[in-house]
Amino acid sequence: MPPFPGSVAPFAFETMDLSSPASASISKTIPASDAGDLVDLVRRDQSALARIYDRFGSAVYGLSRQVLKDDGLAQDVTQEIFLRLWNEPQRFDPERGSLRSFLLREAHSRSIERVRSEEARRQRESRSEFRDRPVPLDIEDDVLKSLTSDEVRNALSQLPEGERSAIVLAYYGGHSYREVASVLGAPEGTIKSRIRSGLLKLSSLLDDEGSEAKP
Amino acid sequence: MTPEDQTRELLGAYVLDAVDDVERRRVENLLAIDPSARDEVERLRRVADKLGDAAESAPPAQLWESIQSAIDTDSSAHKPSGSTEPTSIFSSKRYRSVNKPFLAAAAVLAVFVIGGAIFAGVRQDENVPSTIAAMTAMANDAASKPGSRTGFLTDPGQTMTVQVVADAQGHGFLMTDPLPALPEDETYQLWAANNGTMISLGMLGSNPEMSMVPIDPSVTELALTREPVSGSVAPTSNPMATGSLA
Repeated sequence: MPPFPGSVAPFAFETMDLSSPASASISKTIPASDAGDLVDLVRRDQSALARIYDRFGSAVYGLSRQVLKDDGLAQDVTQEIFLRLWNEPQRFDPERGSLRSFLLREAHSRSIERVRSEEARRQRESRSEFRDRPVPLDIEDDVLKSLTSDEVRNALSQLPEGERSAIVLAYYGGHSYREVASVLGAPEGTIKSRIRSGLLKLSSLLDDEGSEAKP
Repeated sequence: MTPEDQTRELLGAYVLDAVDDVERRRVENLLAIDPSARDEVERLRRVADKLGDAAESAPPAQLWESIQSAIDTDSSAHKPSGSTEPTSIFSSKRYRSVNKPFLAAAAVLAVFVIGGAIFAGVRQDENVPSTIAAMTAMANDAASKPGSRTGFLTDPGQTMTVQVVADAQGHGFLMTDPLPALPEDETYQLWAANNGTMISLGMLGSNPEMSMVPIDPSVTELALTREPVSGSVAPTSNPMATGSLA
């Protein structure tokens, strides 16, 4: 297979012959849709950003909304993420995963930053008040009901309660493991271990069900 | 439990953004030296991605308009009427005459990930003005960033020069259009020269117009050889062009 095989207008994305010695270090191929949009994005083609938004806007907004529990803040974070992608497309490193993964991680980390800065502000304003967000224990039921993936919900439901609570509160609740420990009344070391072991079990459960990450 | 074991216990919380800054640095120091920890984090990240996907929710209809509006405002702020184009290391002006009949030919852009970076080559005979322009834009963007390095690959007779730019993140760009076309069963291959050892950075194809390859920030000496089309583990011919990055 030649290095640049075939010819399909306007762009064709091909993998190299992985059996060839010189390509032995190739670890993964960028999904064609990601690569095409990335190139167009660098060309400052707004329609590329629109396509990316069509594909991933719901995921970014949904996760931000889940963590922030606030539609307005979730919209702010979503806008910030897509504007940042527009202005700095080179921040996307394909070695770290697909564009979807990159945007989801951005959504999560930016939402967490907002949560924590909001909490800091509230604590400054009212030292006696720990927070006025919903009681975290209530979040777990709400989160599980709201998940759009039966597969993920089923996998979470198979975890021991302590592991499930720790993961849900940390990931969807935006809490540090120390906060989770405080909320659940468990030692911090126990929560660290529960998060790790729970995620490893989820990995097996989700892989066992033959699930593929969305492109 | 050793300090390393304690840090390893944080891997799950790290993946969920549930650690503080000091702990994050501890984990990242471990990841830098421990492949098994990296593998575990990669596995856990895939789980986190699925958790994130499961929260999908349609955004309000006006959100895209808001994003678009912000982009338009930003563009007009950065491109005032009458402003001139910035000076570029690479120029794509030769490719702007898109009305030439041969430019209607179908284009192939091969994009790979080699060692974590995008590797793309565009063949000269494919005449892809938009793609060349895109890669040129990426190269110029990289060249303008702090920590970027530039250089030239030249042959012993200095009859041709290949411009190179590498950014601090390891993205490399080569304006390879001066290279003569090789037979279809051969390819250009780029190498990093390190104390007499040649490490392959990637194959560029038989007739590359412009190429993107991973160039680690530690690489300073480059060499270009012609190889069989499947590439070589070590150079099979003397370098036809060499150069340095600075």
